[in-house]
Amino acid sequence: MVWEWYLPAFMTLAGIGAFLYLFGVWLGHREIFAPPAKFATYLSWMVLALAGVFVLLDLGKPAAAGTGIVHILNVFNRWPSSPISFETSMLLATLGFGLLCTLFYLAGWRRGWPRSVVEILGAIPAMILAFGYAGFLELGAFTTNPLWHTVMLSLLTLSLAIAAAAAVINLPNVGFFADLLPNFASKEAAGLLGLITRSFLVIALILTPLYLLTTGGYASLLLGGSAGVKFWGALVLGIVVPLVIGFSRGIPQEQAKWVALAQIVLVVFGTYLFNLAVLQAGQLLL
Amino acid sequence: MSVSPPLRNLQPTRPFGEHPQEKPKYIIKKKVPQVCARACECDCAYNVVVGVDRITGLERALTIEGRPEDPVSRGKYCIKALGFVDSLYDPDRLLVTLKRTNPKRGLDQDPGFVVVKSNDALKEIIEKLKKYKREEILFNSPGDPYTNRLCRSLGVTRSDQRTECFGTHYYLNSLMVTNPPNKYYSSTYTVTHSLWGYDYSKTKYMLWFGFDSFSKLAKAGILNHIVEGKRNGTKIVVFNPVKTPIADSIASEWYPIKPGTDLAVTLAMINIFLNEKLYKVEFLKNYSDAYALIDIETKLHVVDEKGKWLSWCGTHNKPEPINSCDNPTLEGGSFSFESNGRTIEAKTVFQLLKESVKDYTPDWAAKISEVPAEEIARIAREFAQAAPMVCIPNLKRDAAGPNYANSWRLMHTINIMHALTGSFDHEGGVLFLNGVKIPWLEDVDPPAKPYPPQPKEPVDYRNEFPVSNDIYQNKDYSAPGHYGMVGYGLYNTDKIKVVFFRSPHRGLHALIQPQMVEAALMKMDLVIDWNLYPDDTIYWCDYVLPAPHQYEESKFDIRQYYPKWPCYVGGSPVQQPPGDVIGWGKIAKEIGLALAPEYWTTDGSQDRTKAIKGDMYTPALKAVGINDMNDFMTNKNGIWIDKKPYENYKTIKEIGYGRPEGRIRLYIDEFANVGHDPLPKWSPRWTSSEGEYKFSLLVTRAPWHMHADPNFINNPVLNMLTRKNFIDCIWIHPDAGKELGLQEGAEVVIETNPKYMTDVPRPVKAKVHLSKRVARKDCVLLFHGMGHRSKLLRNGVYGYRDGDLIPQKNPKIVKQHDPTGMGWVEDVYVRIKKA
Amino acid sequence: MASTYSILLDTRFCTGCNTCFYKCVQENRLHDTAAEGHYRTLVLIKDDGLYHRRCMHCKEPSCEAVCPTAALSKTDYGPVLYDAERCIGCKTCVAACPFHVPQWDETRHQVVKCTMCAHRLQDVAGGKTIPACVEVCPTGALIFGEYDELVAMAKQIASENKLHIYGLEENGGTHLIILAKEKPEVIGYPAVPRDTVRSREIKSVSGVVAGAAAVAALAYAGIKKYSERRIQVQNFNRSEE
Repeated sequence: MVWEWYLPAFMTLAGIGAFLYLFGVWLGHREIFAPPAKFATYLSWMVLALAGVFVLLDLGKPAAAGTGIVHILNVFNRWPSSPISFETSMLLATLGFGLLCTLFYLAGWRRGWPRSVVEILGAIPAMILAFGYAGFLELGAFTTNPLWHTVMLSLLTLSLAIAAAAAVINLPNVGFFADLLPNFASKEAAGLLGLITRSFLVIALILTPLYLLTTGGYASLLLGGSAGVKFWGALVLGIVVPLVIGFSRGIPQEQAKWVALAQIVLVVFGTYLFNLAVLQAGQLLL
Repeated sequence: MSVSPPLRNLQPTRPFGEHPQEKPKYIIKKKVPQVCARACECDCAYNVVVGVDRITGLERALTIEGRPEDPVSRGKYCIKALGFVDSLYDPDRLLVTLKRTNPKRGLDQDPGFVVVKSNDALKEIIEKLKKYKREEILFNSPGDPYTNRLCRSLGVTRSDQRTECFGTHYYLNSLMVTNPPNKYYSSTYTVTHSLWGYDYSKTKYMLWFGFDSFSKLAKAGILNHIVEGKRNGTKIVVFNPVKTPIADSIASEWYPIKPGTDLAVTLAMINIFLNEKLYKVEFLKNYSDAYALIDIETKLHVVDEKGKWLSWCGTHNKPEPINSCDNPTLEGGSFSFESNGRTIEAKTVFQLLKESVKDYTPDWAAKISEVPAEEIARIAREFAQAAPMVCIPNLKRDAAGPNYANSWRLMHTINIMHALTGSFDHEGGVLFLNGVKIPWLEDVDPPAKPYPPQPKEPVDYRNEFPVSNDIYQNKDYSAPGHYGMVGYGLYNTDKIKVVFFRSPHRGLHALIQPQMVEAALMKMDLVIDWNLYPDDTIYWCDYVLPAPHQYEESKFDIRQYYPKWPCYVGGSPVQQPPGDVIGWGKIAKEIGLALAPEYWTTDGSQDRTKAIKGDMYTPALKAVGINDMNDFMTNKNGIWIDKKPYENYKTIKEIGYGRPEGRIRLYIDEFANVGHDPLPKWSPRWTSSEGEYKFSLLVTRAPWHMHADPNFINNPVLNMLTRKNFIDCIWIHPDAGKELGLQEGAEVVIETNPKYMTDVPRPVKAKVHLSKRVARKDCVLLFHGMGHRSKLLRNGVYGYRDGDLIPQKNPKIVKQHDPTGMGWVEDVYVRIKKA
Repeated sequence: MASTYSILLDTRFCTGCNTCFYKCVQENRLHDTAAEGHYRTLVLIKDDGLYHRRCMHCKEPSCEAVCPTAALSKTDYGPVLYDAERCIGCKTCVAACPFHVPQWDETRHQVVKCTMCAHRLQDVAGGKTIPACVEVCPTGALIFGEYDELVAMAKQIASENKLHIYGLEENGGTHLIILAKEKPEVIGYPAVPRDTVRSREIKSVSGVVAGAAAVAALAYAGIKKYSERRIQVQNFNRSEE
């Protein structure tokens, strides 16, 4: 097992980070969504930076991490065939654009074509990163691994990342943070984001059996054993429970904020567990 | 152009030699000729490469390089030879003498060993040995020249474990062909103590009865010849319940025969040979006793006053000496004639053989062996057609080894098949060692007076087996001992008080029912071991003396695995033995000079200055025009070969029965004398499948192991290889696993049928590997060599011990089934249960 | 180096003795890593034949393609080499190799993979320097030589003896060619498609770009519609007020 828990953490954070940026751009187009857009943009580069830390931690040669960064500057040498080159460059680019957009916010520069151009330019690597994250397992390298090389997995991980990113942006709308982050909360957005999370969780739920069917008979590696525990954990904790919460009505006010918080945490954790399970199961085939 | 780090990835491929992986990992300093005289009996000659390891910076033996001029290895060598290179530096090697301080023996006890000087320990041992009668001392050792002389001079029993490997072959070959000692019988460590190898590269057809065991997979000294034959079109037919990698690669045909029934197949083949006249008449006439007359009443060869065999002359209608008779009769009879006032009714050996096998049709054999009748018949015909360029190789633990109570009969039939096809002593068939002779200690330093008698009732019961005992007592003292019963004797009698193990590299406790030997050792006064590793044995020992590694010794050897040409090879020590290591020659000499000096001095005196020199190599070298070992190693690079053409059937005359007009004996008088079949008859194995005890035990070993030798078992790299290939598991057929409800990797307990293992049973725990390579559902395959328990072997304690399942034998039972008295290692049925 | 070298493995003559494995360990001083379970070549005794797990030295190696730092490189004379100094330990090669060959040695922080004994290939013409495994094979099951010659030899042997060839097509062709009586995939060799990473990556990248563009368009349309609706609702609400 060459990849244990660092790499799934990177994958989860890179996916969420990319969609945070994209949500930032997307929501930022309408004034009523300005607070969550700002929140998503601020958070995007932080999450991506953290994702970068996990890549470095995952490197088998901690001492080479320094030169690794130097080498990463050379990613175009192996671009785009090296997933790590590809992903890292996209990650750095998106991170940079996220930071730039944050600076725009801080500077109060809210309008104008230069900002729009920057946002749109940033959306390109972010979009590729998001797809790359989803397709990290599909991209070029691992085509002979039936557990990884399936379009369904890409769509599934993409859905989970969207659901998780939307859930994270909803954080300021949860009771606890309303006072703490008043500038990022938006009732209007809360409904939209909740809808996105629920929708993509439903999509993920539908895609899961389809994914398993396309794994060339190796689904048992995911359904049982050590990876199985994580897989079922992801399915129940990361998808089913948040959906139940999402569709529940009449939760008393006092518990509602706890439940809302739990939903966000579970979606993010579930996404991580899912990545962990798939990565582990796939390595059993090496 | 130098490129700065951030851009260095954009550099094109470096010029050759600049990539780190294009640089060698070591620098060669010297190459030392050696002969692999311990890993197996191929005794491949090669060079040990000594150099500087660039990673560690240390100078050491690094690897091996082939010597193409060696007719056996032809530049090849195997994984075991490579393992020996690294075992020179095994951190667990025994380098000092250990002396026990805690009188309690056993694996659960800390022996409280203290380090003593080897010479001091030897003196103490000698003083202690003086207190015991010769009948009370057992040397557990192979019959090398120094051990032989020591045991004979002291008049003590020597018994060894080689019984399990080549006992059956040895005794049958001795009784049928080689009649030791003979002019080529050499004192080097040779296979089966026989004198032949097989012309694998020239032969046209081979039958292998379990010859392709896993242990053979790495025998480079024969494999390189076998594949040359294969490339030239040799047909190889394999009978083995296990589908070995050789069966699916090199073999032409493979039959998953029922274990212990090979004899039925060979008997049916002999039946075909005889009925369809598929035999070489000229060979039988000139080189065998097929035409010799057997007295029907005495069941012995009829001889003239000079002891020469007689045949029935068809012209003169009377018995005449076999060598001078102009028209001997092959079959028919009986023939009646007067001799010494007695009317003798006689038949020829050939006629008796025909009668003996007349019921053994292929159909009959098919029912027993589960090999299709038409295949048996076809193979027999094809084999005979290809004669005399045919052979049935057998060495050590194949079906004709001491595996079953009927293995000696199988060996008998195989030798008869070689005789009927005229392939004995023939190019492309069985090659006889010739033109070389390394003398015995007795030849170079004859004892000044006859040796004292051996104990009348030795602990291994060899006196109960007159056939093998006669050879051992009167012809070849190096003959294999009765290891299948020595443990039984130690456990069930109080004859022995001192046991001296000369067991380097083997690990006594991985052999037959070690638990019985362990229990017996508890009651001994004194136990000594001369060993290379602190294996299980030392937990029962009072003294453990450190032995040298095989690469720390000089070597001088014949080429018995491929004796086509007269050839000697030699080896020089790679390094001096480290620590306080002591050689066996020195131990034997010191004990001999102290306890029986009259046999260890040149003039029979007690004067140590006249101690025998024991130079066995110089006379052999002088005979071929080389001065001595120094001359041999320095000027000839340790190899002498006379590539003259092989002279067919010449050596039979020189060494066979009735030499110098020697012949092969098909009919064995000695068996008739003890009430056994002088010509082969069918007999089933000793044990049978009963109830849950339905799995026939098959034992082999990993190609990278030799016995339980820690040189390999304690090697962490080889351990990894063992595990990756499931060698540390027991193997059963997947369907058998299904019936037992066992999944791959399941933990099981294996138990011998208590009916056949009445004393100290020790069930074995192991993991299961489900493999179609075990082709039959009624078999279980175990790998020999593992199961060490010594806490002093840091990498060697893993796996199970096959020996625990194989009972030591009651001599009374053995006598009824087997006149040679060898161990029946695989004549065992076991039960497998979920742990 | 004018020649392109290759190894031909004729499994009809392999016995699974693993002398090649141990010779490789000694030649390359790999004892410690081997003791921990990593190897450059090893023969696994499978039920239907012998599986040599070792680098195939692909013509277009996946490991090289996925390596972010060019630690893995394909030489012009055949072998795929690994430079531990350049490696950052991302281990992508371990997962990317369709033949499941590179192994990550977590103790020594490096990839373990056959080099075809590149260090011995300086004097092939002199006849002395062939890969250690080839030199040592007791049965001559391993043959070393020029790629084109070995391919011709492999094809001839295969057609004469009805053998399967592995390595001519797999992953675009490799510099280790294996002849086997059984179908290699039945023995345990991975089923590897013909196309290489490079040919696949074009598809993948274009897929990603197309997918991203499609999602962007949808997202743009989506938010436009959603926010327009919101504005309409708000306007409606305002007008209600």
